[in-house]
Amino acid sequence: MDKTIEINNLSKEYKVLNRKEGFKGAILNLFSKDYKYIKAINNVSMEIFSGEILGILGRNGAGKSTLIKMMTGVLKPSAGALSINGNTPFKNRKQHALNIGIVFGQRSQLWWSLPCIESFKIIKEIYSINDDVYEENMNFFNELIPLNELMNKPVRLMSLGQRVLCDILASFLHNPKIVFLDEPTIGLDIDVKDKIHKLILSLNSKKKTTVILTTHDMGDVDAICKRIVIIDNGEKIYDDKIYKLKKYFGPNKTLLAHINSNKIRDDSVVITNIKKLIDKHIQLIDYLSVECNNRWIKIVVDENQISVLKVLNLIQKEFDIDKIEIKEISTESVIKKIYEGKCL
Amino acid sequence: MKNYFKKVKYYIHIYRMILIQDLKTKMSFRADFLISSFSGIMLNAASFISIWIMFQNFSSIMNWNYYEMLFLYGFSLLALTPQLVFFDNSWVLCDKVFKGDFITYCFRPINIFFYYTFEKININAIGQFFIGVTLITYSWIKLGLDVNTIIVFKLIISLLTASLFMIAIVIFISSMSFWIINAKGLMDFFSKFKDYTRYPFTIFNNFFKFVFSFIIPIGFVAYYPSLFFIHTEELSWISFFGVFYGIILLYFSYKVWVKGALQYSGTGS
Amino acid sequence: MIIKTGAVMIKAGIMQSFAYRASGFLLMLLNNLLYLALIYFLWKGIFNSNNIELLNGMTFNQTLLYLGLAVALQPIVETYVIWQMSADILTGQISLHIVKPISYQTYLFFLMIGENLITTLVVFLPTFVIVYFLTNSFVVLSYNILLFVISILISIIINYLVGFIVGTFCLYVQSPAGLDNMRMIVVFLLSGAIIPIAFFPELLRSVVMLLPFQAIYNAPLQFLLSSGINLNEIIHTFANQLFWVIILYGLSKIIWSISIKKITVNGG
Repeated sequence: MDKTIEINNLSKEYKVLNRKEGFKGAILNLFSKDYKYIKAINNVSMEIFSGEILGILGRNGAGKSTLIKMMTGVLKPSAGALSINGNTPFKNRKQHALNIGIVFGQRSQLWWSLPCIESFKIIKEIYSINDDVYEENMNFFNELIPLNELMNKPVRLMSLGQRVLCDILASFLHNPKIVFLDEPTIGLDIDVKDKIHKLILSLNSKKKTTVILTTHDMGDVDAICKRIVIIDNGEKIYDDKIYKLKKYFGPNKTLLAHINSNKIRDDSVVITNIKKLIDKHIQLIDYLSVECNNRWIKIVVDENQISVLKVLNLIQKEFDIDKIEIKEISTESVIKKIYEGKCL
Repeated sequence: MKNYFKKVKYYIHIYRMILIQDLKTKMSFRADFLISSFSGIMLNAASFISIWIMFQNFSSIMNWNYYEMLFLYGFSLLALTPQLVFFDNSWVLCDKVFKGDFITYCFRPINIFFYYTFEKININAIGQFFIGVTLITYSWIKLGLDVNTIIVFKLIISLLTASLFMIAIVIFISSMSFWIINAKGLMDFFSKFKDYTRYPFTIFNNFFKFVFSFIIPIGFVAYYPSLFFIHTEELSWISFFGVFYGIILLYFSYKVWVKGALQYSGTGS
Repeated sequence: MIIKTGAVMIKAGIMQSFAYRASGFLLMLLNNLLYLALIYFLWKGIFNSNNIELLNGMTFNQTLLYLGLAVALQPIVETYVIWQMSADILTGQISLHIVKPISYQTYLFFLMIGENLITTLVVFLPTFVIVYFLTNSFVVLSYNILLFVISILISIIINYLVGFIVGTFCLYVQSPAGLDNMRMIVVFLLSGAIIPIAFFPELLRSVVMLLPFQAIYNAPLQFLLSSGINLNEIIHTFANQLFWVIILYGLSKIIWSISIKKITVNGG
């Protein structure tokens, strides 16, 4: 496989003012020379191959964004070498920008009050995309998700999920060699996450685009990445295939569901009911842990045996569920386990 | 050279494209469009009425009569129009930077300043242009000034150079958003100065004359360039200096803006 | 419970606005002072170059005091109620406020009072002191200050009611900027905040005196312009101000109740 990105001993240091509080502090800050240095990225090296989907995992503030910004050319590294397809990104930001696409889960790059299709047309012009390429891509996108209802809708009226889908499509429009996805599934519910995972996989396999995904959601990397890198405190603490990481977190997921009824008073009754239900419909699994607190049901599901959605379907038949949440094992605990693993 | 033209053509094309979309958007909020157009006209009408009311009580301000004051007012309206129409997005830069949305402007294969600034056009401010033209024409006739090609050419050149000052000020002040948190207050603060441009600067003492000429150079928006046409006895080297000063300030504030943008994208979330 | 939550939120709003706007207040004050300089030089120029002592019965000091205090009063009297209403309408928060036991109108009023209290301290008082010395201690500091303060409290209510009525129309727009600008232009021009009403031509002045806007800036300022105001004038001014409070309050209630129907129909 070709190397697309080569990173050697890359570091980034920020000079940060030690801010003082309050009104007096605000004035003092103007003249203060009291800086501290923060190493956002510390001596990171890695290679990224063309066509692969790499997950960069880390806690908030671990240095993921800084790393991405250096790779996209908006930030100049303090030390080390970074080369993308043989070029240095920050030296020619505009040229480099033609070869990459970026999606932010929290911030749309589409024009807020325009119908989505108009945003696409502007992007077509900004990147000087040929008519043929544009047509071809739009047809392909249409195979992946039905565009008709989405394209004429103004972005401000879209749901978060629809918006992220459109943002992802927009980032692939100019056939970039690399696409960066920064927390694309943040704040989305499980079936929309699933849609987005599928979309990314299909785009990657058809276009052979290198996809670099940053997230703190284990579910994302689990669904689409073969290789992951974990960044913590600016340093790379893990870089390997995902299945090797599985030993740190296993296949368990936690399902939280809230019952929408005041009639149910006794939590223990709910637990017995659910256990009965599971025994009746899904044989063998007697070791699912079931808890219930103030009408919140908590079930830990081993996904190797049964999917969370199946369990949810089951309890939905019996109870009126109004809120659900599916929790992956947290990135924090994985990172903690990696550190512990190192100690061993 | 050929490459350069291609680039200019590209940017004009993109600008046209974004502009048409922005206009379509504005038109789709019809009530907003009508109300903001109307409030713009009302603002100018109110300013005109206040000049008129003032001159019901006396005949001149520092020997500037009613029509000369109208000329000055018309000149300032015209010189402020380009900033108002084409640089509207600068006013919200502080919000975008504060909320972190500015980062989305940093990844396109296009000049960041261009891409951000010209994303919006405040087309309803164009009403101010017509009011300005009417006022200048009206006072021009009433004052019995000459009309010939050279003078009209001179008027257009001086209006164009005068318009650079407010643009430069707004770009410079908005770029402060990249360094300080409450740039919004600063923007509000400086936006008020456009009302100061429509008075003859002979009313000020030397200190304020200096401040409004060189520190906050609003004297060049209307007063100094107007002296090419009326009250020529007050004309001095400063008016000529203004022609070049505007270009220098614009270049300087553009550079500061770009420096800020690059620095911001480095530290923001 | 809800009222208590509301009170806490108001307090939080004040604290937040203060923390965020600490430097903003300084700029506001500086803005006032620069504007003061402008009107000082402008009117000094007008009085001097025309060689006049008295303009429509007002001296230079009176003019400066009138316009200077009009500027100083702006942070106290001015209201952002339109922006608040627009934000509440666009985010749908308004339907939450409607069901609260404290009326939306009252809630917004206290929110404004909280904010303006701070601006009074840090913006109005320093400006007032400077105007006082700039006009050669022209203001007589006696019982008329009390009348001035009472009159201003009524002005705040009138201006707020005007703002609330205009704010109701935010139901029809995406951005309140245009509406608020129109309100400000009308209020400032017709209340005498830009040019003293005494300078208006006869006909225009008599029309303006029949409108509510003069009760916002012109009315309280009259108490400071001369020390020898007789009882009749005092009663007349307060009666006029209270008249407008009642009329505008009634009007705002009617318009609001019509708008509420639109909100409940649209679901916010």
